Amino acid sequence: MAEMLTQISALDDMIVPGRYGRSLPQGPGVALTLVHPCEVAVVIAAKGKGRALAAAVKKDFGLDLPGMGGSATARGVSLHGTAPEQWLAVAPGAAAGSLAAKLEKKLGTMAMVTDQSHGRTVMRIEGPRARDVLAKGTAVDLRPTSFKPGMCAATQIGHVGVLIACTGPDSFELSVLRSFAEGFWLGICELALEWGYEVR
Amino acid sequence: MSSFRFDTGGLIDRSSVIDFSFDGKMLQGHGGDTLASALLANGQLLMARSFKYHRPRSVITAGAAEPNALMEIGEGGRLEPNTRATMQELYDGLVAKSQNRWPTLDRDFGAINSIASSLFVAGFYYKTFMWPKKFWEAIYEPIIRRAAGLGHLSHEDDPDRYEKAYAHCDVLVVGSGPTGLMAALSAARSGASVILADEHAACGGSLLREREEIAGQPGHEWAAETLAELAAMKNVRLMARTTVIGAYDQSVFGALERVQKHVAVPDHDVPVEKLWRIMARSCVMATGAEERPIVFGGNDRPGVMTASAMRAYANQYAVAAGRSACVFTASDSGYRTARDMKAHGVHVEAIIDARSDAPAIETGGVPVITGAVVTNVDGGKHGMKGIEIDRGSGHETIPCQSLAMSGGWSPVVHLACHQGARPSWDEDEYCFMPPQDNPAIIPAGSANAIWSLGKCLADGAARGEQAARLAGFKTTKTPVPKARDDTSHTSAPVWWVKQSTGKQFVDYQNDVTAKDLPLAAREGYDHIELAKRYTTSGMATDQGKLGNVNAIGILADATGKDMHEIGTTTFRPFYTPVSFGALGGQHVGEHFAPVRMSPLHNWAADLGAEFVETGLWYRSSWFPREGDDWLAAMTREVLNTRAHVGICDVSTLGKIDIKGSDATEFINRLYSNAFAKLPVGKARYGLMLREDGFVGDDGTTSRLSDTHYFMTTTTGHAAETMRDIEFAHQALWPELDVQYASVTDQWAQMAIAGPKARDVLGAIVDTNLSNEAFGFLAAKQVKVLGSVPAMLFRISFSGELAYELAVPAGYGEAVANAIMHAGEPYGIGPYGLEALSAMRVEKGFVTHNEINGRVTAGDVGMGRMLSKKKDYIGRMMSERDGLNDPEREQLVGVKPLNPANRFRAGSHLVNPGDKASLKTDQGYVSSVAYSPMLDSWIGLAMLKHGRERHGERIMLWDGLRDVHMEAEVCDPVFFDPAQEKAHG
Repeated sequence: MAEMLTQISALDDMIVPGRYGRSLPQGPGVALTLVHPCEVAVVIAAKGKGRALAAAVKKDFGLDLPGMGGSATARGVSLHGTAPEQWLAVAPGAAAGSLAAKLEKKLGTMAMVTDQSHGRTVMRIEGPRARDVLAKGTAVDLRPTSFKPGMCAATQIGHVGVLIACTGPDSFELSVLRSFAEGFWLGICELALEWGYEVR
Repeated sequence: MSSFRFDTGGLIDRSSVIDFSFDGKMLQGHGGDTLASALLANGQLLMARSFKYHRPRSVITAGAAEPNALMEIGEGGRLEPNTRATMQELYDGLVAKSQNRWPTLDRDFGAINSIASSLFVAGFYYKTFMWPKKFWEAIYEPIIRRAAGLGHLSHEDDPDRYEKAYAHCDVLVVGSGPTGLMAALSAARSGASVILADEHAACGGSLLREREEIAGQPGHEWAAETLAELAAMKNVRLMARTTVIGAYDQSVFGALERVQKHVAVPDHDVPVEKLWRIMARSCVMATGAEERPIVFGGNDRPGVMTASAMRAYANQYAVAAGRSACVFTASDSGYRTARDMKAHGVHVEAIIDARSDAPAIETGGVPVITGAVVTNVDGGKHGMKGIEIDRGSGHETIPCQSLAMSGGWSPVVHLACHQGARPSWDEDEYCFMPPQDNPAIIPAGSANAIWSLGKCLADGAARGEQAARLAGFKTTKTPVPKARDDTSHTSAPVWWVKQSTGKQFVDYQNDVTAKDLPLAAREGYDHIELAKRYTTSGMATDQGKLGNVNAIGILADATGKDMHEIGTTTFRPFYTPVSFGALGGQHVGEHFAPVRMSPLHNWAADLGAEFVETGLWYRSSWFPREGDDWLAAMTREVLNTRAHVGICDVSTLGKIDIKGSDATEFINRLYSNAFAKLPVGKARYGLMLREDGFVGDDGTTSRLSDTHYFMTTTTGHAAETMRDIEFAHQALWPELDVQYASVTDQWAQMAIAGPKARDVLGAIVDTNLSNEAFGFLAAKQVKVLGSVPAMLFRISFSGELAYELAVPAGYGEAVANAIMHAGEPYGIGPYGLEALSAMRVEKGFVTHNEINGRVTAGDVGMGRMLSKKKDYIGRMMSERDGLNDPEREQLVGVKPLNPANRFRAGSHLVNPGDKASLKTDQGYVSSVAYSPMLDSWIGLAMLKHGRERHGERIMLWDGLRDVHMEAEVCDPVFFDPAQEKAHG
């Protein structure tokens, strides 16, 4: 019967595609997208199991386990290093419960795997002004020469904890706690007004 | 009015005509004007009334230091008082009003203060208004505040948006004059990322204001070309209209960008101001120098201004304060002004040089009177008629409509001093030099007392390279363009013309006169910081940018000390005033703090819930039906839950997933009660102490497998408990193999409580719920609705047969609706925080109302939960004598003798017959609820010897509301003390 249940996003009724904010000749400064559904899990290495975990991740997921502040992506799964020996695994569009289950199955003896697919809200911000919009909220050095694809940063925007992962030259994936998502989304939208934004 | 616009010249756009108003008068200016220059162009020399004496005032400067020309700009919610007309760009529709005058600027009643000025000497309010004491707040202060003051606020909401932003760069260059431009250029050419910030709308600094040549072209053209070159470089960010307001630790700089302060109606999509935090590796402080006024009689009269300001108005804006001018100088700057004004066609009567050994400088044919001083100015609100001078042989007068003054230059050292370093007096340059304590802040050009244009360009280039190298870049020598490189003559300053006849102002903004400083010294306030507070010299919006050095000089004179001994007052951020709007940024109104929403928020809202803020969370508080108030709704919800079944959103509880081979040991050390032998499939109530032995938090923890636990915390302490757990693991017991993650947001959690709870849940859960299979405090991973993974706990915060069911948050609404559907035949109803709270008070369960940080486990009747068989956080400190004192207050219940009498948490307990006082205080009420089951108001309270006093009478004393009543002390468990219902 669960197949009939739809996982409702925290931004369920918030996403109204369209153009908002200032209309500039060069087009909207950023595009905002909700990534939903999106499987998310926290992976924390068990004591002394860091190396074995890295090997298993390489073998089973084709990923070089990144250090803190680093991201790696392969076969639709990204791992973001959020703290020492701690990662956030993200798989957009995967089947409900599948990511955590797969990670648990392959890595469960070396790490704690906790499903966060319902606990995190993942969104994407991209476009020529994406860095400028984010710079209104976080003290992280977002200059293209400092914050490059393959890097991530656990930081705060508007007092809300957020993981920013750089996924392309001007593309970023943002994940926040579900309960904060609505206010966070509204806040990001407001910060993007200056250059105009598109909700996809 | 004597001020006017030249027919030609200036860097204004004469083809654009801008309409604006001043005190209701419609006026016109041009593109490129400031409000100040446009007023001068319209003959409006009179711009303001002074703070204390209501003297007529005009501009003294053409920049950020302006103390006089403060105005109210805008209307309604956009009204901004104390705006410096010298910094305000002119825009179409600008509405400016003068301030601190009544009824009009021209006829200001307050000017009577000037006549009584002998009453208003420094510290007058300490002396004059001493008695009677209570008159100060009621009468004197309001009158003084009304008479002496700046602008006023509209008290309407500001309709505009403000934002904050961060920027990072290798080199921050502050100031875009010749020095700053060269610094930015040389740093940028090394590859360093550069931010060049300038407080003015147009970059170029003094090059826009002086008639200079660089590399054979006019200075402003060279500036424009250089700016274009910088703008084309990818690693350069130009920030005009941006004042760097503070320098903080580790090379963080604050900056205020006035994004839309030059338009009548801002675009709402764009903030009006942005507060920047700029992280720079190094900073070139090319902030320039401020020209000092001279303190002489009438030095505040409209028409008198600094020599550099007069040049700026003439060269940049093509305006002058009068058709004729005199110059009073103790520096070379006065001569430049004489030459420039003459070139613009203003008749310059004479240069009065205070130096008897004045160097021979080109005067452009203007006669020079050396060794002479200006002693008074003949003028008033409509302008000047002439000046009175003294060349040692008595007073004589010279007619003129304006007067330029130059007492020398003070480097703008603020940013180098914001972290506490002090500038030092230089005996050769006669100025305070910027401290060099912070190697990352590099003073350059005239901010470092380098006066000639050629040397400033060269210094800028060198400092820019130095800054880039400091940021780790390799530099090559930047070619420096040719410019004049004349020697400058510095001479001992003239602080104060003592033989003056009129009023002599040191600090214009606060109407501090030269005589106030020696008075302060005589009365014992001879330290510069004391003199500042006593005289108010250097206070208010300009913070003494013009007057401070003169004040120090006069105080040095009066005390027989040298400048170095007197020193400066403390330089604190901000350099210039910053609006509260900018400081608040986007975090105002409903965005003041982040909001947390439960995954069941919409479910509750659809059922008509009223919400209450608890911390950041919005929680469903009660579910009114037509005509219900909160009390009626809560009563219905409690009665229904206790008689049938209710459902409540408890998703906000903190939830922590804990795993690891040492998870059991870890949890056993966190809780004060035993957890080592908790069987798999069971939940247990746990109490956590703080390190200091007081109760920290409580909650339940369930064992899902040998090495897997699920912990809940209270809503309010979830973050603190997670922090404590992280600290305990990382710092105290890193050897333990344990991992934990907050899963608060992953799960929607609901309590299903009441005699029919089992029947309702049975319909959707795939597990046997009988007492035998799933008894009190059972915990299990289950499936609901066939396949939704869930966790089910048999725990009760209501005292009923109750379960808590956690499902993935995104399924929360669907599952809650399914429960409502399944519960329909049993009369299920939602209940909110009010009902939850009433039921827990009926049961005597504690929350953070009781465990408020000051109570021990023993105080709340949980002494038995402090294990004697193990160590845990807080054990040692909980054994302190004071925490086990029999005199401590203990948890009791209280019931008013008249059950209909409502009382409030916070009421104090006093023995009947005693007068309420600290001495007779017996305790306090911590929680109050109306109990539908007892049909009475009831409360939990902390009472001295409470457990021995059940059945006694006590007074509930509420001094705040003046509500007092007699009550009976009782057991804190009001309802079903045998726990039969929960175990049923």
